[in-house]
Amino acid sequence: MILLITLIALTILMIMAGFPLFVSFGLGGFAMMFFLEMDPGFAIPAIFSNLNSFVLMAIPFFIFAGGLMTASGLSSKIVEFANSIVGRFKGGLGVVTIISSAMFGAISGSSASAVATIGMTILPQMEKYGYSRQYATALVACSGLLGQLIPPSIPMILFGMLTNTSVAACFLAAAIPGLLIIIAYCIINYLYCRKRPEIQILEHASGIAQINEIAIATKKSGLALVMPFLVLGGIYGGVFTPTEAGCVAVVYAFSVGALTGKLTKNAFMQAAEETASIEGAIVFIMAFIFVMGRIFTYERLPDAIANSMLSITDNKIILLLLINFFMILMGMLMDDISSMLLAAPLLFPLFMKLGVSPLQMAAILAVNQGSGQMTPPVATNLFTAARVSGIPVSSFVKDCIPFLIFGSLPVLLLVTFVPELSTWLPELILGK
Amino acid sequence: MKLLLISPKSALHAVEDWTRVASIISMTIIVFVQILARILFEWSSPALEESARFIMIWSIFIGAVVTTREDSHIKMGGIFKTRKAILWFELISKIVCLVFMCIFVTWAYDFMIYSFQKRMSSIVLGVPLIVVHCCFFITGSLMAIHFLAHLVNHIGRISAFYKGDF
Repeated sequence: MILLITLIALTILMIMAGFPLFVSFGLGGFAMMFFLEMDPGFAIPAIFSNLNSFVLMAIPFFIFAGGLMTASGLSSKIVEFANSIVGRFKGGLGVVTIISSAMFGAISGSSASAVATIGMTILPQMEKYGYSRQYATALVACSGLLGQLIPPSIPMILFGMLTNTSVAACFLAAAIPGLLIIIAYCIINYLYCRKRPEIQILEHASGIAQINEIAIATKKSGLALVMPFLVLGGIYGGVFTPTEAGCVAVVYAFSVGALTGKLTKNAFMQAAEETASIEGAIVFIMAFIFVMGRIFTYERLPDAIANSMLSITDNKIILLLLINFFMILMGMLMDDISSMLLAAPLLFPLFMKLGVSPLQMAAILAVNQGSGQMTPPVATNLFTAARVSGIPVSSFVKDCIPFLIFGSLPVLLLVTFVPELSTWLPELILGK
Repeated sequence: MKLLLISPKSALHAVEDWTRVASIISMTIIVFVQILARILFEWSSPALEESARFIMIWSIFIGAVVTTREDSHIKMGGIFKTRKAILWFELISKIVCLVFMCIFVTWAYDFMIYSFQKRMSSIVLGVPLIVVHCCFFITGSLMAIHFLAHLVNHIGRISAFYKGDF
């Protein structure tokens, strides 16, 4: 067991040193097979049997749908719509950023793509209305977390697949924590903007004029707004599986782009190429994590972790706090997908022994790993936002702290100790 | 001689690019046809689902080949900061990647031969599983070739660095 843990530590060191993730996990798995004297013959069949999954296909579909929505200009319409409703309040553009990220999350399921897409559209406007570039970039980076909490969510697809839990139920488990984070972020944003006179609000319009503007924005963005209803309505109406909903989202985004003439042949090809590359990069890493997961199962590592944690204390509250601390550290060192792939199978037996339902576990991991994307050294959302805004991470990282301490962490604790926040909605919609 | 090399290289890149696009599009069409068939005609075919899954496996690995070609595999920021240290670390990283891909290709070759010898076939479509199982060997070999090319280029970069041309 000590040898196995040492090899896991070496794998993490390789990741932190800057080796590509796939080779870190692949070589880590190879070293485990070598030192534990296992026959490597199971590696490729294990990769094949895990990848030969219809559920997994949802990942490229949602990435492709998000790419086509952006290429068709539908993503910017979402920002316009949110702006027409809340843009006239103090700090309104900040709220627009938060809500747009959540709405884009309801299309693409990925936090990094929400940061990139919403950031490109909203950052110039925020600066124009007096927000500092640092604060605006921090808000965009932190709001990206909503991309993986508001359904559909790629980490939730992975969790469902790895733990044999309903993906549709996992989506719903993360939804209420997502809404709580929206509320917390809006309050933090309001408190920030209230003290800053340089932040302007959009010109005030009379009641009727404002209603007209909202109607115009709704009409313009109507085609984009249909998408979340189509995806989520289809899944929870029992019409599609999550994978099929992803496929329908692709066809819908393509049809809208083609009919409105916004989606050119080149843009379509580029979206398809990018989807295949992102899919290749992400799922190729997963392939080697599957091999590692198989080794962990052979060596009974998840059970050993559960037993050793339970031997420290049998107090559920302390154990859950310890797990959260461990997960936050993991989120600081790894991206959301890698940490989900490692943590879900490793910690599943422990959560079950503690009497935590798989849906609550899904929500805890989602909030935890989403928050990990805002904490250096490995913070995908911060790096993506920095690339979009053109300023270094060090210049805006302190503006992220209030969102982390007063937004994500309280919601994480609530989700950890109030199971109903993650289990009520799935039970209400899907039944027990 | 250079022309002879450039032409197969561009042909290979074109095949990789077209395969990745074709796989994504065909996967989408197949699943969408299945949805339409089920909703409109109450007819569902496991064969369509199986073929979409097989295409997805190809698309994942072709995507990984292109990611290797573009040298854009996901990695963390790294701990090395100076130009010289980064260059040497990248060299080690590329050697490690190449060695690992060679190991992967060996495993994939054994698996492909095993699948061929056992004449394994898929449950629903009944097609020989070698059509999917060979993807690990083919794409693994392509990735190894791209890593080798990156390694050669990188050695050139290190040499230029020490000559002061970089």
